[in-house]
Order: sequence, then C-alpha cells, then structure tokens
Amino acid sequence: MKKFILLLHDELEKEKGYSPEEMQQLIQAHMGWVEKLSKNGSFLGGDGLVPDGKFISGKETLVKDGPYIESKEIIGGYYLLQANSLEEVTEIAKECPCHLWGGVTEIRPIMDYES
Amino acid sequence: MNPKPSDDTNQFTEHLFREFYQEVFSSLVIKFGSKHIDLIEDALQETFYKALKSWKYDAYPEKPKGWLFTVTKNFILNDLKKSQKNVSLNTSDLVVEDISNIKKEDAQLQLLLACTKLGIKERSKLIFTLKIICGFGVTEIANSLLISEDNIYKNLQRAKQKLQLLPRAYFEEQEILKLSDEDISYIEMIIYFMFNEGYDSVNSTSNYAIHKEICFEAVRLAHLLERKFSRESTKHLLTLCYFHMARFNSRINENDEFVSLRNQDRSKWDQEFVQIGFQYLQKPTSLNRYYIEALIASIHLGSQTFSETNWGEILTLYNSLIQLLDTPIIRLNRAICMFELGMNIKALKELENIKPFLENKYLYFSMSMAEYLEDKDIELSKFWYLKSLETTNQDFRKKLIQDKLSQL
Repeated sequence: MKKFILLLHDELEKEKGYSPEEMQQLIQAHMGWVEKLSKNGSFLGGDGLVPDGKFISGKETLVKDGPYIESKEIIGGYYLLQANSLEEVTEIAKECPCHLWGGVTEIRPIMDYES
Repeated sequence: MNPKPSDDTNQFTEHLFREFYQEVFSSLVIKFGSKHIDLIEDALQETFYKALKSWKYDAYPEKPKGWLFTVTKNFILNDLKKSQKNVSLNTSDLVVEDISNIKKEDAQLQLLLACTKLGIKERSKLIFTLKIICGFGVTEIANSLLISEDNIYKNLQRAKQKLQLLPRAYFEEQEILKLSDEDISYIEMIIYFMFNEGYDSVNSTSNYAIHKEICFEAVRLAHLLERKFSRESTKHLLTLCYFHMARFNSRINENDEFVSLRNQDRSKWDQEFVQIGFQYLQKPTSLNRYYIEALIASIHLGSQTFSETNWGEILTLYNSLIQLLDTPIIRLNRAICMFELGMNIKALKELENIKPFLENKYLYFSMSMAEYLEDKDIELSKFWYLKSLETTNQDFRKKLIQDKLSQL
C-alpha cells in the first residue's frame, strides 16, 4: 500500500458565506465519505488548517504573515489516504464531496524510500 | 420532514445547524439587544465555519449542540472584548449561559413581532424573517424568491439598521405577553405570506426542497404562535397550511413538470397532513380568511376526482372570502370556479380585469392558468404562456413553453 496526501484547496470567502444548512450538508457529506473510506481501509487521517500562518524565509529567517488572507484560494486541510496506486487513489479522491461544491483538490504521493 | 419544533437533544439532527441558529440567534438578541445583531450573526457564522473546518476531517464532537454553543459563546466574548471601548455592557452581563433562562420559543416570536414593526415593505420583512428567524442563507433566499443576491443583501442591511433603532424595551422578555390581537394578526399574516412564497413560487425541482423548507418554517412559526396564544385564527392558519402541504407530492412529476390540480394523482395526497389539518379546524366565532380558505381546500381534498369537485360550494366560499379580502389571486381562483360552472363570459371578464395587477413571479400559477385555458380561450392561454416565459430563467423550461406556444 502506498500513502497519499489529498490537499483541499478552500475558497475562503465562498465557504464562509454558506448558509447554516449548506455548512451542515457539506459536513455530513464529508463524514459519510470518511466513514466509507474508513470501512474499506483507505482512510488514515486528516486535519483542517487555520488560515493565519507565517512564512519564514532564508538565512535571515525573515518572518512574514502568510499571504493567505488575501489569496482567493488556500490549502484548507488535508486527508491522509492509502491505496495501491495513484490511479486508484484518484478514483477514491474523485468522490471527495468538496468537488460537488466546486472545490479543487490535489493528490500528492508520499515519497516511499523503500521501493 | 416534521415541521414541528424539535426537542432538545444532542443528536446530529437533520437541520441541526439551522435549528441552532434559530434558537440561539433570537435568544442572544433578546439577551444583548438588537444593536449587537451583527456581532451575534458573525459569531454564529464563524461557529458553523469552524465546525465545517474541523468536523469534516473526522473530528466530530460527541455532543454537537454543546460544541456549537461553547464555540459561539467564545466568539461572542472575544468579539465583545475586542470592541470593549464602545460596549456599554459590563463583563458580568456576558454570561452567555444565561440565555438558557430565556424561553427560546418566545424569543423567536418576539423577534418576529419586532420584524413586523420595522416600517419596511412586506417582502423586505419576509426576507429579514427568513434570514434571522429561520436561519436561511442569502443564496437560498435569493433562489427561492427569485431576487438577486445583491438585492437581498441591500434589503437585509436596511432591515438590520431599522431593527437596531428599535428601543431596547422591544426586546424585554416580558414584552411577548403584551401582544395585542392586532400584533398577532400581523404575525399570522407574515407567516402566511411566507408559506405562500414557499408554496407558489416553485420554479424547479432542484429548488423544490428549499421551497418546502420555507413552508415548513412558516408552519413551525404558526405552531409557536398557536401554542403561545391558542388563537382561533392561528389554528385555522395551521389547518390551511397542512391542507396545502398534503398536496406537495403531487404538484411536480418525475419529469420536473408542474402538475395542475386537474391532473394531480390524488392518491399521492398526504393523508397524515390532512388529518393534522382537521385537528385544528374548529367552527369559528367570527369568520376569518384562513378558515374560508381551509374550507375551500378541504372541498378539493374531499373530492375523489377533479370532475366531482363541488364548484358551486367553492364559488360561494370565494364570494364570502372576497367580502373579507379582495386580491387579484383570489379573484383569479374564483374565475376558475366560474369556468368550471360554465360561467365563461363572466370568468373571462374577471381575468381581463385583473391581468394588470398580477406580478411576474408565480410561475406555477401562470403555467397552470395557461394550460387550463388551452381549450377555453386560446388567446388568453397564449398570454399566460408568455407570462410564464417572462418569469422563468431556465432554458429547458423556456423551450418547453415555446413548444407549447407553437402548437397552439
């Protein structure tokens, strides 16, 4: 089994504008999806990310507030998944409910040093 | 699918978020006053967003409602601290737990009453009510009322400013007991207006769910009002709503097309709703519109087929309804009775008279009318199809109407 990270690109403004009902539906859709993945063994974990952060760059360790707030899209969270191949995990990720609401996701295989 | 208010539980119920909004928003406004309405609204929105950001990654709390409450409380306390210099409250006022002493049902009625007192147009009151008392979102309201989101925002902004100007006394807990008969009639009116917006402005099955929700919300508020004041007219309003809702499942077919009363599959009518409706139907001490309209609906519900409908009786009821309340929609419905009774000339004359007074928003209505008139008056039928064409913004439906028109 290979490990993959599924990054969720959130549109902050759009998501914050959802109605209570839409928020609940979105959560429930995700919960249903996670439950399904847990049952078939592809789900390893996941977390949401807080939008405010810091950028640290170079030798001088220059610290800047992330440009997050200004940018339209940020990485809002990730799921850690496992599957046999990139193709298989792509099929799994297609069902991530955020796509139904127009969201964008990105799959990155986690480097496997043993193979 | 139960429009009655739910009991307190920690279950992740079907509409937990919206119900939470309804209870907590109005209670907090009663607690802190309407000048903090923006802060309260933001706190709730931030809470739901935080839930979205954490629960969806498998971090679902054991007691969702308790979680929502704690987070809302923290947002409010933080926001109040941040704006402390212009806050007239001292920190001992900030015990948000205190809202558990506020009867959440009363708080909603009280806020609803405040909405009726804002001196804004009926439709603006409705928009505001849907937002702050029912917890619908701007997009949901825009889609169901066929108004642009910008327009909704502007409406809400104006209403909010007006609400903030209402004296603090309006939001005292004991105020609810002082409602006059006139106040209650006014609340009934806005509830019925809301119900009709949900019921008549159906414009697609994709939005059908939300239209139903608006109807259920109206009924929920009617139940709150009835339980508090047990007024005869509120009971009749409930009867009427349940009788209308009994026909929900037969009004749209599997191809997303409207089904007029004549062609509805009457076996799909919901007998449970009919029964609930009858429970609230009692003989009135004085006539009111809801009672007469409920009687008209009951005649339809009691007819096995369209052709068995007792139109004579319905016409009599419409005649007495018009004595109480004279609107184009009621006249239009009466015209249908006249057609059914063979009084075509009178009916057509009536339709001509009211044509200029009808707005372009009732697609269900204009479609039914057009279909109804096909074999009676082709020109008038064309008029209603054209009216429908102006009303809809869905391409497939436009095509459907154009096909119809070319066949006529």
